[in-house]
Amino acid sequence: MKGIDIHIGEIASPLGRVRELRVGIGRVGSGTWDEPVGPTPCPSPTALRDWDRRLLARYRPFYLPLCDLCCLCTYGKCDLSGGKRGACGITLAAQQSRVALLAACIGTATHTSHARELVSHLIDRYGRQFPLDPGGLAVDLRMPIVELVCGLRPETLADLETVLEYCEGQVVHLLAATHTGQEADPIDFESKVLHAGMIDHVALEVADVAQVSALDFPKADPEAPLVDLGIGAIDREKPVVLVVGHNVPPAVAILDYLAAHGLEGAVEVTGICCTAIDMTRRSPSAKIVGPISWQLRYIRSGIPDLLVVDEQCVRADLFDEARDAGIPVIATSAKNCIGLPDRTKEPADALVEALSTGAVNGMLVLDPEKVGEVAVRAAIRRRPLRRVPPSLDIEAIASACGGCGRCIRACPTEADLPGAVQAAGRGEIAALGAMLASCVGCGRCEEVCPQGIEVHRLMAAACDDCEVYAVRTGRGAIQDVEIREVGGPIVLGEIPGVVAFVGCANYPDGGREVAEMVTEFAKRRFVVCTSGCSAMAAAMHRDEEGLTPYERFSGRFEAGGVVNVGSCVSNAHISGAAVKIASIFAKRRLRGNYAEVADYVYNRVGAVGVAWGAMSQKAAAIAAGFWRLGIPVVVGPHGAKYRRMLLGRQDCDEDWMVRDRRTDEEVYVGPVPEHLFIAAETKEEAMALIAKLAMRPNDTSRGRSIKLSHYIDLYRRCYGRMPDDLHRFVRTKADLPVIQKDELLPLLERNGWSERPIPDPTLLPEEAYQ
Amino acid sequence: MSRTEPWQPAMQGGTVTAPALEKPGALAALVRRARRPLLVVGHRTLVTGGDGELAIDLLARAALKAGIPVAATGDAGPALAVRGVEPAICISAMNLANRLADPAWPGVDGQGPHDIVFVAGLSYALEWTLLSGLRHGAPHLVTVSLSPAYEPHASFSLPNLAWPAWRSLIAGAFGLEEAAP
Repeated sequence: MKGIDIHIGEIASPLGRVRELRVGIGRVGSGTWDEPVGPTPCPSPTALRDWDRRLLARYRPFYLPLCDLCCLCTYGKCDLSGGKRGACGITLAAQQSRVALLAACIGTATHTSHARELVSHLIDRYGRQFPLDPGGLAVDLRMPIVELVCGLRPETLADLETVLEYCEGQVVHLLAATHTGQEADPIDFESKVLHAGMIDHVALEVADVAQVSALDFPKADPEAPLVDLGIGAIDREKPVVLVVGHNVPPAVAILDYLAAHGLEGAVEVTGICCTAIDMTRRSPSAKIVGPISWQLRYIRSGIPDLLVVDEQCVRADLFDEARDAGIPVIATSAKNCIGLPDRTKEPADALVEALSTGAVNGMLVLDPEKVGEVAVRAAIRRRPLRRVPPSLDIEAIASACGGCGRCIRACPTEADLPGAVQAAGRGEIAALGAMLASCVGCGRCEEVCPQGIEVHRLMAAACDDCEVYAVRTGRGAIQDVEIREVGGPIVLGEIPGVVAFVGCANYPDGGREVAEMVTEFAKRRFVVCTSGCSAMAAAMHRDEEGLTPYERFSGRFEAGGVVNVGSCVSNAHISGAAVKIASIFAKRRLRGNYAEVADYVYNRVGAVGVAWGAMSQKAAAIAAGFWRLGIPVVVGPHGAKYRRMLLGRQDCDEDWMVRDRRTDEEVYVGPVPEHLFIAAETKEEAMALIAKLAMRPNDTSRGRSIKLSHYIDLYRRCYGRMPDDLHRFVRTKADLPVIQKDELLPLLERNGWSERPIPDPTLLPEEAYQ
Repeated sequence: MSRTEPWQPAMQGGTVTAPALEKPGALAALVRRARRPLLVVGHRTLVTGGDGELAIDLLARAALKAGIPVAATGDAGPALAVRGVEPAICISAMNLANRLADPAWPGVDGQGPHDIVFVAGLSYALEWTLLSGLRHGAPHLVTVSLSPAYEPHASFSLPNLAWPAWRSLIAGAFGLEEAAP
């Protein structure tokens, strides 16, 4: 028996009155959804292999091995350099793709597990039949990624369990492929990376739609409130709770406990990383301290009275740091127990007592509601005992620096730490303090200093960083009506692109560059999206009028909007917006129809992802999810450590042929978009790349001329000259920006340019269309 | 610390590491031997220097003296141009490396594949990974890191050098001593 779904609105019986009783048997139903199921509902790891290979034939992996060796099995270590194969027969290329798949699996598993914990918790709290509502009346297409990938239309929290079962199964299959003696072909590994990425976006969407629906976050709200960001926003006189991580239920429980006990405003609830964003979605009174890179400096400040950690991107030494600062810790995630005793089942009073008196440095509590109560009560009792660290004698400490240079050699940003520390030793501390703005907060400088100088601590002490910035909290999904308004201009190219700044804070030169790029592209009337740590970094910059990008630009998904969708899991709303354009604007069927929709997005939606500080395996999975939809991703220089790029060759004309659906002929469309995954060296180079990668074969001449004008301008800013590849992007004279036509035509003619048609482009055979 | 361990010591690569070019003569010999050389100049040449001189000043003079075409990456292009070196190509480093890995790529001037590539001034991690990519993906190519930070994946690399030693080595190898400020 399958597909049975019984719904009883209200029934009176001798046992009592029952409301909203729903019984389901079998998979999540499709209700009244009469759209035919497409060719690939809940695809297996090989179901979209043909689509992947079409992409990967254009964007071939350029391998950048971090290590020539394979160390995964006891045959090894095997040296794979110089064309040698390992004992199992694997090549270096396959090994790189295999590691890329491992990273993508880790990222996807992390988001899937996060989603599972959220859904389970929310079902426990709100019931299985709690309805999904990511956007009220403004969002009819509630879960575009799930509909596209799974062919399912979930309506309740319980329905999401079916989707997660699919995700979990796929992650297991993909991970199994990395075992010794399984997959060996690099392109098949890469196809599986794309599959992992696609699954990742399904899990992201499940997680965010679940929490938006049940926790009353802003629902696709362009006017989501502006909230405070920065240490300066914290009232240090009050008890302060710090929450670090990504999985928000403990933080929500803290906020709810405060509200339930009339303590709102009496305790400062502060956060770092995505939990911070998500708790401000629950309550705008919560404060965002900063991105992942702020963990050390904030803990060491001694301001928090209690630290609550959940999962993901939590420093492994945070407990030690907190202990040294006299801050008790509550670990709340089964994935991050920190070696602490599990005291979940003990009474709250006992836990509060233990934490408040310093009897213990920390404990594991796996019940979010209990965490909420214990954290608040313990923080209030700890407040009088706060140990504000004494001021450092910066000059005296820094004067011990011998200038050996080990710190600069350990620094990811290659900052001139010895110069700054030695200057501080002479009493000139400004340069050292200024370095904090570009510091990624890793603390490696301290690990290697032979004098034992805590360089990062010294840097923080030299910087009086009490700024308060305004960031728009995560709005969640994009409204259907917004898609109707911008879908046409985006597909025609008249809005020059959608650029999404996502991911971690491993920036080459500080988060300021993210803010500058966000501002630049918003001013150029791109639709700019942000999420996670990048959303925070974008806020930490003011224009000449003192406004952050979120104060300066609207939060609507429109030309010139700066749209913070939310935390890492909210990234699904960005890919979801691209999918919605295919559905709402172009009326393409979504249901289990991945390849056709990806082909549409790839050829028509000028979207580009930017992960300027990408660091984690989750970022790898998120990027892969964009790639499979045909959305290119630019990363900062550290992104090269993801072991391979996916690069096109603009000089190989044969790579850029598409089928014109109008004529069924193969036609040249130029290298648009030129790359699927590329690391940029500098911000200026990244901006020129973003403008170029926003071009699509389907651009109208008006749209292409707008995109070309941005590309030319940003290219000239970076390289000081005209692009040498314009002839590849100009189809007809009408593509040329009007005011530059006389200047550009001779350049084109020197390259043997001639006009060519603008096709109805597709990478797919006709039979693939639904 | 050793002059021939990776500048960032954790960035160990594999079983083979680049011979270090300790003397100007060894680098000069590579320059002389090159038939189709290319010099890649990245953005960090604009921030590396000493005594009022930048690495890009010296490398621009070296390129002019040796007649080596230059590929500008990052935002080094305009700075090269004002120093009298018009880059043969302005391109992202990764995009360039991908083309260099193709033995049939006709080079920045269309005259034929390059046989030796000198690289300087990318951020360390980017140069490290890029040279790893070329080492494995472009066995037809000799790569030489001219950055003052030892790069184990190059065919040859300068050792870890402070500015005066780096300046002296480059100036010596390219015969720039007489023009030194």
